[in-house]
Amino acid sequence: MQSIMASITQSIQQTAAALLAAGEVDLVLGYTRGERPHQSVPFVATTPAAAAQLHWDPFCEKALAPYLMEESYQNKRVAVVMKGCDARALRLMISESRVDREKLVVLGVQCQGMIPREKLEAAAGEPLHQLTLTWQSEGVELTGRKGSQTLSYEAVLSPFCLTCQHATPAVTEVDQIIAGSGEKALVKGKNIPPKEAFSDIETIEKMGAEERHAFWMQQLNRCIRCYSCRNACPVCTCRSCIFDRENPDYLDAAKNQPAQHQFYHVIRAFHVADRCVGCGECARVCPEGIPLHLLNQKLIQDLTQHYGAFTPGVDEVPNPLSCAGAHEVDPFGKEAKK
Amino acid sequence: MRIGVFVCWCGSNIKNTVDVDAVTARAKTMPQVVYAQDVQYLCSEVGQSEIGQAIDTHRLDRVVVAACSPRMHETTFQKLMAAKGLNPYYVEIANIREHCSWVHTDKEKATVKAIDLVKKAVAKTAFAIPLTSDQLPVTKRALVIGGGIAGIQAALDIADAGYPVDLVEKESSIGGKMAQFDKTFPTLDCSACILTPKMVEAATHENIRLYTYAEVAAVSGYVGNFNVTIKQKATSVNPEKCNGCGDCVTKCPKKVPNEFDCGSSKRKAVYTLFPQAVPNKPVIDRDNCIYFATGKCGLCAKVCQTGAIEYQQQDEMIENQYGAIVVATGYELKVPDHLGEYAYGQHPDVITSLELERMLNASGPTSGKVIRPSNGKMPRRIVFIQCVGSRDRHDGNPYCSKVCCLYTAKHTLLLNEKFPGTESYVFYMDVRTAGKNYEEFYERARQQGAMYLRGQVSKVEPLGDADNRVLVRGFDGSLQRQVEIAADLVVLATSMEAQPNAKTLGGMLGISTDLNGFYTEAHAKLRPVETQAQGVYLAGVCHGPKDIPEAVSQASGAAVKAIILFNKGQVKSVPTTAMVEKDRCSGCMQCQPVCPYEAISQEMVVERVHGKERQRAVATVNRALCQGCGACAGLCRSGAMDLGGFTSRQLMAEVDSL
Repeated sequence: MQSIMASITQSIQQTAAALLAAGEVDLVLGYTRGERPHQSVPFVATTPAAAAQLHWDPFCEKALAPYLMEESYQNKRVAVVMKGCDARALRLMISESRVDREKLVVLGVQCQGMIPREKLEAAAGEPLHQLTLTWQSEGVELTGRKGSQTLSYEAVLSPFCLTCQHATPAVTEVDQIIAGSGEKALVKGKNIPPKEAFSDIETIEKMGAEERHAFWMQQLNRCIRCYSCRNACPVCTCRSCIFDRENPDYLDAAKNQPAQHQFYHVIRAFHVADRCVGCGECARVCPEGIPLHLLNQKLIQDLTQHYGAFTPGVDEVPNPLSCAGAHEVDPFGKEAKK
Repeated sequence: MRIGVFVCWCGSNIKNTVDVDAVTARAKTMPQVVYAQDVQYLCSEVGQSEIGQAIDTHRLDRVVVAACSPRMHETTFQKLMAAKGLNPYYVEIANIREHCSWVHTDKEKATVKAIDLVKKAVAKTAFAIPLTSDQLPVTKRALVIGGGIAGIQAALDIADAGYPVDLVEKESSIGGKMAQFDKTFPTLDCSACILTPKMVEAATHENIRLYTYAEVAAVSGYVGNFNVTIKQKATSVNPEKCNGCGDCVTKCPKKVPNEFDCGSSKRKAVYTLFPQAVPNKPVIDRDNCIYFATGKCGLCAKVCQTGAIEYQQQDEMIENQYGAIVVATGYELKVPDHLGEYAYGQHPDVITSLELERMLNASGPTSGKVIRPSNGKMPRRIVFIQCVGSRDRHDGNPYCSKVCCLYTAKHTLLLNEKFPGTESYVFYMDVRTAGKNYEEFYERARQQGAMYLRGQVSKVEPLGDADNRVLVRGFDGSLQRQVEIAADLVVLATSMEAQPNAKTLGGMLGISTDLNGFYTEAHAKLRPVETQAQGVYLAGVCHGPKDIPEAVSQASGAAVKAIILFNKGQVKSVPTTAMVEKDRCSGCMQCQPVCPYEAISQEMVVERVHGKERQRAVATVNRALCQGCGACAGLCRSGAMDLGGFTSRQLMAEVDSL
């Protein structure tokens, strides 16, 4: 039987080819197989023939929403393949006037969760290029030189996907849902609470102030300020970033100082605090392996605690940090000090 | 750029704690500073001319004044700048008095701090941008919130000056607390006799529109242009049809405790607040009406000959524009059941002063007779206890309620006059009689036989005799010994308190409340009527305990402030408004919901990209609406929003300078 991955791939290819052939869109933005084993990379199909190269599997991690703001996508009709997190980011972009929904055809994929390649390799105990993967209902079957084994999806999926509540984009947000046939969900209705998936947060919370400071110094001081986290982030959508600004320079790009790194990361975390869609791109793209997502996840937990549950890109704006009501406790007032 | 720095001594206020010579010497070395000088009083004419001369002689284009808070003299120096042909916002104040000399004692350290404050101001002014204000029109209609004596007075004064006024009162009649009183001190005029003519005048004045049984639900806008939503509660009685015959009240079968008599009598579910109510039309209290509870009854509608009863009436939201708002929301009296030693609520013959006042009133629950609630008999010996819940840091309010001394003297006089032979004992801490003819009035009360005992009451308890009298145990400070008085009636002078919703209304109006919940004036001495929000003025006890003449004077003061505004016809807009750098703005509009003045909207700009025209959304600020709070500038992620006079560049320069 055809696996769900193959069926979604086929469905994407057919839909894309039809849209391009009918001239309804100028290009289709999706994924294709990368050069490295079990890698998928962004891909633009402009002809029905090229649509055959579109591909879908649990390695299509890259968030596609930020591409839509690029110059080459302007004044074009674009069809775009979107996972749940990507679609949430897109909805934020639309509500923040960053993209024009009218010019888009959104193909929402029934996402099965993403598998970080390094996590798979570690779990398999063999280099990825030696492995053949088969998507079974109970897990992924790995066939390599050491033989064959089946790993449960929980063991290999990204922690972001384990906690994800919106894997498939909402029907109302997309033009078409691409569901595929075959075995449906990889993680069968199991939603792990963020506290379990991101157990590091609790560990860090339990640290004393000095220990925690030391931890973050060690992490953030590795930063080389390549800004990959910002560039990959699907909600970092400002027309001009405050960190690129000159006069006043909020950040001195020339200075390789811990304070500058810390300032950058703390400010960035706050800029996406109530907008983070939890795609995990920031931590994935970091060449230094800084666990940036922990800052965001901690902020999400804190915001939920203080302002109630708010899901960016799902719930209606305004975001909790962009509004203030008379009923809210004045942080400088008597009530707050009690 | 040529910056001049001027360091003020403020007499000894600054000079004693800050080495002004050292600050001046150090200022001379700061970047772009070409001139520095210290002056004894910068705000004086001499000081002003020193600055003026220095601007001419040294061709200064920016001025830093190291002196008191900008709240004191910023406008003084801004006017000087304008007179010298410079933008008023090219002067920067370093507050080395309130922020430095007044709060420190170590001269050496204070001098270091003063230098830092000057350094910061110099760095900031180097990036100052010129700002201008516009003239904005004023809506010449006033809103008065609260229809007590203060509100009525303010409304009448504004209306007499020829401007329309809307008077909003939450009860079904105007009159407020004064309508509940019997007589007024120190002249013993009948309260109603002096109040009702004013109530009628307000109701019939061609420039006054009454909104009774109504509340302010929302306020937006700014001085000269407030937008207010008034919630007109459903009275269930059509005022056009009702002829005030009172048949509905007579027939209504539902009786509830009458709040106007402090619960010591009953009223109906359909009722008028008191006989002289204005407007004199009943309202249906829906919480207590049988028809609204069960859908049955409907007696009032049956007996009404004009068909004025309208059960289907709905609350109505009315939106109006106003140029000025007078807040006259008054007070509540604290029910003293939290002070167990006075046995209020435990013994029926322990009552509050207002309950006694209602008994004394001819239209009150006892038609003017004073009785003991326990047995209906006339009391022979009455004990008055002062400062119940006032001047009490532990279990009450720390402040003095101000009127109790006088109204208690009044009560003893009235009792003595109406019911000769009544013994009045007054337990007091101090008798405060500041006010015209007040001391004489108090003297008269003592001469007429009121017995004043200086000391506090420790316990009020049932005596347990056949008459069910009350034993008051206290301390007489003059005799230095414990005293016990067997009383027929105990009267507690309870504390005046701010309205429970004062803070909510203050939040809508943008004015603050003090520790005790009373509204804060703009300046304790020199601006006692204004608030921090321009165009919002205070009248009466909502600002703090006051007697009637004080409340009335303040109301007239508030009215004059509104009239001045209307006479001018224009207000200067705030120059320090938010500004959008459109090139940086992403048009995300996150700034829009955070703006409390609804000053931000989205606009489309057309720009050329690679030779092609493209439309793009950006935020734009309505400078007339913006009040310069800076919430948007703090929120903007890309730094496209800036606040005039406090730009990011200026603030960064301040931080960098330290």
